[in-house]
Amino acid sequence: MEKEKLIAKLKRFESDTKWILEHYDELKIEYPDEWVASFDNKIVGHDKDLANLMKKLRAKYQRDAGHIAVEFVTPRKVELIL
Amino acid sequence: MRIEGYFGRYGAPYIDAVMICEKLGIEESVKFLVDTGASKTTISESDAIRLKINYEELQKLETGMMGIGGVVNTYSIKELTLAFVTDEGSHAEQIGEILAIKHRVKNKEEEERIKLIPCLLGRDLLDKFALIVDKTRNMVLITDEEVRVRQA
Repeated sequence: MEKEKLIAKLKRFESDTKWILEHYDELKIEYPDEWVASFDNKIVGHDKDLANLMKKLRAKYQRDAGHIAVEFVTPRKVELIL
Repeated sequence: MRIEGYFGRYGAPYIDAVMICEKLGIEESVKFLVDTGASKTTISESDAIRLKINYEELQKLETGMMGIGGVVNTYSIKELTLAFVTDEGSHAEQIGEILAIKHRVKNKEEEERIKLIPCLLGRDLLDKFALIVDKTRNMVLITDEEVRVRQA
């Protein structure tokens, strides 16, 4: 793929990832314990099962599905220690 | 050349990249947690599902990997490129091998935890650059420029 297009997709992915983070408090109420997908700063899919969600996204967005931000949303408070 | 990241979930530093692996037909965006404690760049189990990675197509490594997330099976993804957005446009970094992990034991509680484990940008890539993580200045940056810190 052309470099410019790829970079544009990566920039949009980052923007969508940040959008999920900014709206996390609303999302965890609306979609508790679900995977949510954001594209162009809006929710384009959600599912309890990630494989199912990706199947739906691939059917609709084809190759662009791999550049859609997807996050698991949980209402539980979690500390990440790696 | 500067590659900028951001503070994401859990306030942790993240850098996004497009992962390109022709052999596996992958060209997808991936969010990496910057982890100086990780010796290798690693794809999480959730992202393996997202990227449609088939573990059966990968070489399983004999030695497992131990992290705070528990014991996992590790698989090798060879010959790939990570492409980053930079201040000059883009930068492609060729990597000989990264790991994909698959957790061995799963009960309900662990399954939940596994969903939250991110991909890791490890020292195999970070060692090629200078890394700046400065929460006070909201700055996550890797660069090939010389970084000088004024001495006290």
